[in-house]
Amino acid sequence: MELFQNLQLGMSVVLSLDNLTYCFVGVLLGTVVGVLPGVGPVVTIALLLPMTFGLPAVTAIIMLAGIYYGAQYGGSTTAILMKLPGEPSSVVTAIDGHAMARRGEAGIALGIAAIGSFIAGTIAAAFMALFSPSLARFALEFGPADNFSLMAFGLVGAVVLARGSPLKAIAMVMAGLTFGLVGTDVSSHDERLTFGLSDLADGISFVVLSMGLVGVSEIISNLERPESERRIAGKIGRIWPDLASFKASYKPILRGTAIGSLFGVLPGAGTSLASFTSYTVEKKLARDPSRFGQGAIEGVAGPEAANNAAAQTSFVPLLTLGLPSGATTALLLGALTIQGIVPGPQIMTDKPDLFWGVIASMWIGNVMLVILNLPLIGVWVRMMQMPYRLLYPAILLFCAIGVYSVGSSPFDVLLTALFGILGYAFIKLECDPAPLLLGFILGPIMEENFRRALVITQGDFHVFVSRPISATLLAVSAILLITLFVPAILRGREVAFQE
Amino acid sequence: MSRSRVLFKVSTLAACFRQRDFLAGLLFLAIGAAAALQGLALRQGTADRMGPGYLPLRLGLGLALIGCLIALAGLRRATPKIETMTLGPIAAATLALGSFSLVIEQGGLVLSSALLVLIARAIEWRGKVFELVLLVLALAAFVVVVFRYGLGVPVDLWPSWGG
Repeated sequence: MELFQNLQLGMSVVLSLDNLTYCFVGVLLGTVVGVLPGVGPVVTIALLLPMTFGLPAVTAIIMLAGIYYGAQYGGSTTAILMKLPGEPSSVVTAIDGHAMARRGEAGIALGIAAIGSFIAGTIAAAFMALFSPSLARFALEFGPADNFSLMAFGLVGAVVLARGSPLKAIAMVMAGLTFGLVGTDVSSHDERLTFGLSDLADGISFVVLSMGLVGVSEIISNLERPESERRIAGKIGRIWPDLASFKASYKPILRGTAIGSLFGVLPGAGTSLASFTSYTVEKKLARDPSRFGQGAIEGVAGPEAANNAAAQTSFVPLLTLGLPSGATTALLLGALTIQGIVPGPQIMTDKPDLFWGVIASMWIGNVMLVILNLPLIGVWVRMMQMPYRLLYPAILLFCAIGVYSVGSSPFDVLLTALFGILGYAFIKLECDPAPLLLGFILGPIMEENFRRALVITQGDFHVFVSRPISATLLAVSAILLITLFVPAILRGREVAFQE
Repeated sequence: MSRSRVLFKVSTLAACFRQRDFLAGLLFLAIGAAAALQGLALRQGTADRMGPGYLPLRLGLGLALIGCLIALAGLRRATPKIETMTLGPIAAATLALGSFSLVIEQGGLVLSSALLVLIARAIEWRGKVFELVLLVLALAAFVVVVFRYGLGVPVDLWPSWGG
């Protein structure tokens, strides 16, 4: 049994009292820093990475795993409690997770997020142990045209998942793509859409956009309410998930795990697509899709599981191809390189102890996460009971410092404020920000893959429909779009005929 | 026929500007037009050899077009009107962040944090001076300990013009 040999090798590398202690410290620090509002996983990992540099390789990796999972979960915690998504995947968690928190079910949302992540992490680890070599080949199958079509599919999914008018959701996706273009063009080095501002030459950072659009706008719209309605979390309901919430969420968790495990393998935008796709799937499968956005537990369980599974399987392209799937894994790659782990196709055969050590430490990190965080849920929930007049200045302050510490740029803080106003306008105009954020993340990657695909075929557009993977993805996207608009058109006609 | 006549009678220009979807359409139109104008100034190229202006121009035009569609649809079908927006919360949040952004480099972490909290709380004054002083002190201390000393964010604590 190769599976058990591989996992055993990994475990034998990782399991020692020293390593477990460092893992625990990593999870603890990752969670505590990651839970600060405004400090997303990217900032947390960047700030904590230097602590691992002096450690021996295996210990450093396992501590990294702890920090990574702690930071991710800490990020989900702030997304759920305060609607402050610090990275792409928590955008989705924030939608229904925060709605649950407002209903007094913050504890249930946090508990399901932790348990869903743990289940997903465990299954994904086993999945990788079984299929890593074939997964690496699967990732290589994806050419630029396929990648482009995959992301187009993701954007259509975002339109489907958005609340309200699909036309507005499409406009939001396009606005996101436009914001993603801001900055220096990779191939010509011309500055695009910067309005001559040198501060925009490096583009807009995701943290700035999402903190402003979702976080700051939420504060503004909270302040507008009368003081009695402002409390973030309602009365404390259950602190722990009950049997009914498990029953409602185990299927979404398993589906999310499957989606995440597959998407995570795809380099580029796999992890951010995973949680968005899982949300779309759950919303499509739900008997009553209108619950989504109002605090549907499936909307937390599925995407959180998908995110964690993808975070795990994204190590396959990261370690075998050297392709990070986002800003967080790019940071991890840097840290692994410092520890002498050079990614490449041979890493699984040449350095099995390192490869499987990384996988095993990821799993241990997941275990630690559950052990540490389930008891902490009560603390977070109680913290949310503080009067809002004390909370919001703190949230704004942490946002400002968090944003500032990403790039040491005061301009970014100003830009966050401006996006706050824009986000507030979007709330008033009932435009869901999730499609915009996904468009923003995927835009630059899509453009790169689009260009690359056409360079390879010397300008032949047939490549998008002649490659089977790409053609299938485009066909599914087209069908999704049609099913979205046909009912609206038919309804419109009926109304017209009645007049 | 009758529809368009009714439209003109009922919705005066002022009423149009309170229609939710009409405003949403205008916002997208503005973003799209701005992107298209910026893109127009750059080299266009062709689809297989895109210049830097290729995508901005086309995306911008597309967004502007969809914006028009949304705005027109918003006029035809009466969408909910925008409630009055209160300026206080917007001003509090943006001015607080804006002042932090202006002061952080020269004035240091302590001063900019205190300023942010004070301005953010300006719309919630209510004469609770003692509570506010405590909040400012507690948050400034927390931020200094956690971000500057704990996480090592490279930022000065005190104003650089003082000494």
